[in-house]
Amino acid sequence: MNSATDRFWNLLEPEHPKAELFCRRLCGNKAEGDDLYQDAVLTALRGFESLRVETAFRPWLYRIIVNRYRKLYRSPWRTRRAEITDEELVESRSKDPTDRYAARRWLERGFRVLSPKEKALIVLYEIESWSISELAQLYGRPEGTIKSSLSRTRRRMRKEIARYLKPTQPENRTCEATYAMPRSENSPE
Amino acid sequence: MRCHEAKIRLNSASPIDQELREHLTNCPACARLAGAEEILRGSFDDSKSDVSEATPFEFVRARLEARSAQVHSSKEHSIMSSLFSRVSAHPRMSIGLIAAVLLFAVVTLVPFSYTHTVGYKVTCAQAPAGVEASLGQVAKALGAIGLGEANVNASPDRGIVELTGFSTEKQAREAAATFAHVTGYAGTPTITSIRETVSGSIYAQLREQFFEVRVAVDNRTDAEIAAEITSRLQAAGLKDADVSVKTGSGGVRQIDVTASPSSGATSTITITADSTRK
Repeated sequence: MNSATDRFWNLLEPEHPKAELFCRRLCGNKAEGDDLYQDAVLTALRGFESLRVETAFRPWLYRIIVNRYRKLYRSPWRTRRAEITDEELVESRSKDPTDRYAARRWLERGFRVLSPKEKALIVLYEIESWSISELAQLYGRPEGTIKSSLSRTRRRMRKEIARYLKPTQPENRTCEATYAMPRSENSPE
Repeated sequence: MRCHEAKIRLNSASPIDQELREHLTNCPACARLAGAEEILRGSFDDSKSDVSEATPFEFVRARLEARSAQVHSSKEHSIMSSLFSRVSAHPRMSIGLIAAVLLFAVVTLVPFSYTHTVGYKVTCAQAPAGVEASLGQVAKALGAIGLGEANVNASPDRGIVELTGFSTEKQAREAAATFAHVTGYAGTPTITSIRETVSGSIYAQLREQFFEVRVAVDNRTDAEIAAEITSRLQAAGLKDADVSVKTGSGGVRQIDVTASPSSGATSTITITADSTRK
């Protein structure tokens, strides 16, 4: 094993748990997520010598993951359809909204209207808790562009989810408590 | 508050005040958006806590290293990368292969300068006086023996007559004999070859040295075979080829060819007889 390969594995090891989890969240299931992760790592291994600064390993690795994901899901054969019906969504909404199954299904419904790139962006920000500056470094875009993209992506997801809500629901009155919650420092504005 | 302003407030995630609360109560569309935002935020928060156990790193590394080694020997690997991997695995064979490719390139592509004979001329020194008056007769005589394209030039002040435009040495000799017969020239004519320097690959140079003629001999007479060989040699530039085909005892055919290529250099003539008889 040559030194470059050893260095690659040494750099990957601390990133492995989160990167693998990110791939699973992108794909929506463990099996496809693990396949995506392994393909991305193989691609990174082959192109490791192109990485000039090893401190930029993390954004470089995630860029490869996002590109592999985009390539994978660009094919029309990979278009995914939500399996649940509108009635199931509304019924699950009437239960505890923090129910894990229901939450996952709502997210899947929202992700349907996003491109692979947008989905990766929103997952990294909202779930993986990447900062705006980290995302800007990953995508090679200004922070203002990243904030605009995040705002636009959330708006699209919100609009898609809103389609499955009835016009008037008693639960809507509880949303004021949610919006009174303090925002994190990295919220897009 | 208008819906437009309410949506801006919702998008910016600013706290809900009394004004916005009243609008949400009265506007179902904006209330739906607010509900959707609640669902979205709750789903994201829930996903953060939904952390599945990662695959052990050693397991992943071992699997990927095996896959990486497999990819290098896989047929699906690109042609260029598989070629590079083979080259690196067999350095001696690679050196030999590269040397062979370079040799082939040198032989077929790299031009070299070489000289070859493009014709002959006859120089008759100390020509008899008044020979220029006979030049017309000389030209007519040359035409009679099939050398009508030859040029006859005289330099009376130097006493030299030159006959040019012969493709073979044999033609030059015949022309010299004809000149001597017509003019009564008693001297010794000098036959010199006209050479030129050309540029070409080694392969092109060697091609000029080889002639191959392939003929079918089954159910054909000696005369027919000789005629075909003669015509093929003439087409290849050997206009003075003498071909003789004789059938000896036992039905064995003997083919004799005497020819001089136009270049004048030593050439190899290959006659191949195709026969179905064993």
